[in-house]
Amino acid sequence: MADHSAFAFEPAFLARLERLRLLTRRVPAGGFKGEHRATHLGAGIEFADYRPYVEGDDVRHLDWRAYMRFDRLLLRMFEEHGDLAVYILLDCSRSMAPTPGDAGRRKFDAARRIAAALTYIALATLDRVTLAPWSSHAHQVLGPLHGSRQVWRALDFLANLDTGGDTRLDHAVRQVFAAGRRRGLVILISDLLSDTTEDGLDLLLPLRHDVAVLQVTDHQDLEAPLDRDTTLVDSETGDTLRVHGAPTLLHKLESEADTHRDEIRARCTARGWSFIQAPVEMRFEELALGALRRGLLSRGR
Amino acid sequence: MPVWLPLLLAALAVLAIYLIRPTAQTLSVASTLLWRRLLAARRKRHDRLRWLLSLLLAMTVAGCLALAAGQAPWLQPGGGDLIALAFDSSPTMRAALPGGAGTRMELAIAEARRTIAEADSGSRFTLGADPTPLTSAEALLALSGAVEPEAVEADLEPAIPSGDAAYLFTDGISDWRPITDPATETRTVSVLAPARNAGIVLFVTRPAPSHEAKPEALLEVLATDSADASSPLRTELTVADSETIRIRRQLELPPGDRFTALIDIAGFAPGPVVARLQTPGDVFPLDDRATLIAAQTAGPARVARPKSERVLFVQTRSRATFDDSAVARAFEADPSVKIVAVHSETDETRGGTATGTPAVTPGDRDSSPEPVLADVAVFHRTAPAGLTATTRGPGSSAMTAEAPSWMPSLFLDPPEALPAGGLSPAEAGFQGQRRINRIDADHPILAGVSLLGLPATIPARELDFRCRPLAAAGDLTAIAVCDPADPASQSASSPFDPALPHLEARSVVIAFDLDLSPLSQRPDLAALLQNATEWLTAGNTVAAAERAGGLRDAVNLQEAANLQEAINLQEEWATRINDSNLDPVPPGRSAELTRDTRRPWSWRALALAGLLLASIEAITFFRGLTV
Repeated sequence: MADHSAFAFEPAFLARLERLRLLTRRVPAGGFKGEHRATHLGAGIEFADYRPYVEGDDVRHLDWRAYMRFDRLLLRMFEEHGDLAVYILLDCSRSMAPTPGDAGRRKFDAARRIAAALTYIALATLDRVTLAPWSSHAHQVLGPLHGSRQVWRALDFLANLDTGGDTRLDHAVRQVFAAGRRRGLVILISDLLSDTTEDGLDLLLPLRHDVAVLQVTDHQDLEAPLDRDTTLVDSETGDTLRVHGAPTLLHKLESEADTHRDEIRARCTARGWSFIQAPVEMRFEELALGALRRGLLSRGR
Repeated sequence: MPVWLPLLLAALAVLAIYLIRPTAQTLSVASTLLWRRLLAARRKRHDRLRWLLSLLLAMTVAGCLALAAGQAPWLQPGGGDLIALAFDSSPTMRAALPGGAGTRMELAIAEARRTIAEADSGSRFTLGADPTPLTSAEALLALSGAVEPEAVEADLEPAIPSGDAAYLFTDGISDWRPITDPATETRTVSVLAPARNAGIVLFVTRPAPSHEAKPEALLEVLATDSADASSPLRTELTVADSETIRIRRQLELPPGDRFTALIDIAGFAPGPVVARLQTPGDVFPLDDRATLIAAQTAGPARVARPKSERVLFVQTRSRATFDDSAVARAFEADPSVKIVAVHSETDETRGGTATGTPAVTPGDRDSSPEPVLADVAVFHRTAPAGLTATTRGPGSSAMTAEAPSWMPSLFLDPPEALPAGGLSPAEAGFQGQRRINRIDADHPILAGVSLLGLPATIPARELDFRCRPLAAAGDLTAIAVCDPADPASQSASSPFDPALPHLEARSVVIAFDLDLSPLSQRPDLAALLQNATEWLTAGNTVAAAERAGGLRDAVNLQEAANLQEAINLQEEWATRINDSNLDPVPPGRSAELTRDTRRPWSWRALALAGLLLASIEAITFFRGLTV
């Protein structure tokens, strides 16, 4: 069994997780019973609404009392509860752990904790979870997982992941969704430090998934001990970049990071997607609070 | 200093600059995405311009440094003094300094360099009678070239260009009196370094008072020594005719003393009479040898001439080809050689030089060739008519001149169809490039000449057994000599060519094309030709001409007088190499003299180095190799 120390959630924390559930604005009907209300009406037990009868509808759903009162054929609609397909795309590129040691893996560890927590929540609410790690390409996919018994399997899978390669979200999206997967909720967990991020997000748009983007950030990326003249080496590609007067540029670098984040946030907002910044220092409770505000999570049951 | 040394030093300097620079810190970051976005925005505004300006400044500084260090003429400040530098070109400037550190002329050049170095910045200089003003760098460069006394015509009254100052470098021996502008401040720099010398100051013949038909020679030797010398000057006098040494005598002469001898030369062999002095520590070899040429028709005007001068008559296939050849350049480089006539088969122009010697270049086949008054006949890619009457091909039928049979001959790359210098006509189809693998290193012609391993295209010829091969590639003879005095040549005529005339004079044949040989690129060629002409004239040929009667009709009294005038017998003052009214140079100064062959930095070389520096700077700058 893999080392789960990185995801050693306390029972109280797990209990709080169990009270949460993933929320999506466009819930496709699932093949299994779940706790998500479907956007279409069908064979549920909770009455939802009436609609006019059209030829071909099941006459068993006709409300004859309403017909007697209004002299119109109305069809009774019930909410249908189904499972939600959740795709967690976890960035495993080199930039998530640019230097050896625990300090250099903070973004990756934080990303795995978030993925583990979201997986726990989804499985607890009977959603179908697919874990898709990626870097320059899509790695081995785990899932879809269904049922809370699959939690340990998911944690094992996350614990065994490692970083490597450069960030090619466009390649990963093409490969993960090449098989025509069910529409669902796509949760992208990444530092988004790549030119291909926007291309990858654009590829998700025609698939009509609901998308939540979680940007994992580390202040160390913006607080490097730069000398006056520094040659920066990209941890993913090995490309070098000569920087003169680097110390004076650090505050401008923070502004550039904000600009970069705002550009992606604006793109997500324009598409009705969620964008959540997840600094590595942030506890999951605070993250969950932010997620609650942005509609990714909801308090259930 | 070799040319590559400054370039190597410049390269080492550039390397040192590169190595001692602090290198940029290298830092691994998660991604350079944000940095690239940031820098792209900045570069659009400022950085590109700043980098270009920085590079422009660096290149400008490097260029200025290079040009300033190289003393480019157009960067030097003007307005300095115009200084004339003039060098005594009289023969005594060839006298060696005590200790053998150099000659007086080399000392004069060293003093001139010192004068240039100590002159004010911006000064201009003229050299000799040339009025062209030079910068200090150009003047130093010119002085590092061939300013040698033997290369300068002895002009006793050169007109020195007007200027602010004139420096006259002389030993004060001769009547060298440059004409200078009275307004020019003239300074005489002495290069007089007293040393011992013994020289022949007179060597003439006259009819003996008792018997007018029996000539006698008058010989005078003058001893010169430095004032502080106490011991007499010891020298050995030898007098030889064309066959053997007739007189050998040891002399002890106090400084300034004169030895006079009357020599009965009636019993001498016909030919030149050579007097030679061998003096330990002698610094002036020019007056150590004298040759008396017996020209009976010239009456009492027998001629003494320095042995070092040899007169050549050149016959070539094409004058233009000869003028451009390595052979011509080698002869030009030999100051002891004077070419009095060049005759070609194709040119109608008559050659000759203004030496007083009759220029003999008949161009008309039907006209009788005039006799040639020269020491050596040089046949360049051709052969004499006397040898080729029966064997020459149609291509050479235009050749009309021929050398007298008594004249030594030097054959250079003779036509393959013709015999020359003891070599038979070449066998058709047998030639190829070989490497010379056998030489007669003891022969004086090959003294100081390196021929082993030299590639040469040599026709296959047979060598007359009376002659000796000096260099050969396998069985192919590359260089051969024929000497009538050699006992081997006293035998019968050549077995392969009965028409070959009897050997009357020495001959040397170089049987391959010198222009196509690597030898033309080496100083060995000049040494080889110099040795050859010296060896060929070891037995005086004019005397042989007299014996054969060939010269009797050609030389009259006037011509002999011209000859005497032309050969420039050393005057007695030349032997008095210490007889000067100038103060001698301090002994330490002449002792410090080493042959300074350093060439000043040329501004082109430094500009090139600066360009190299700037290029490397640009490359490292853009490639991010250094700060």
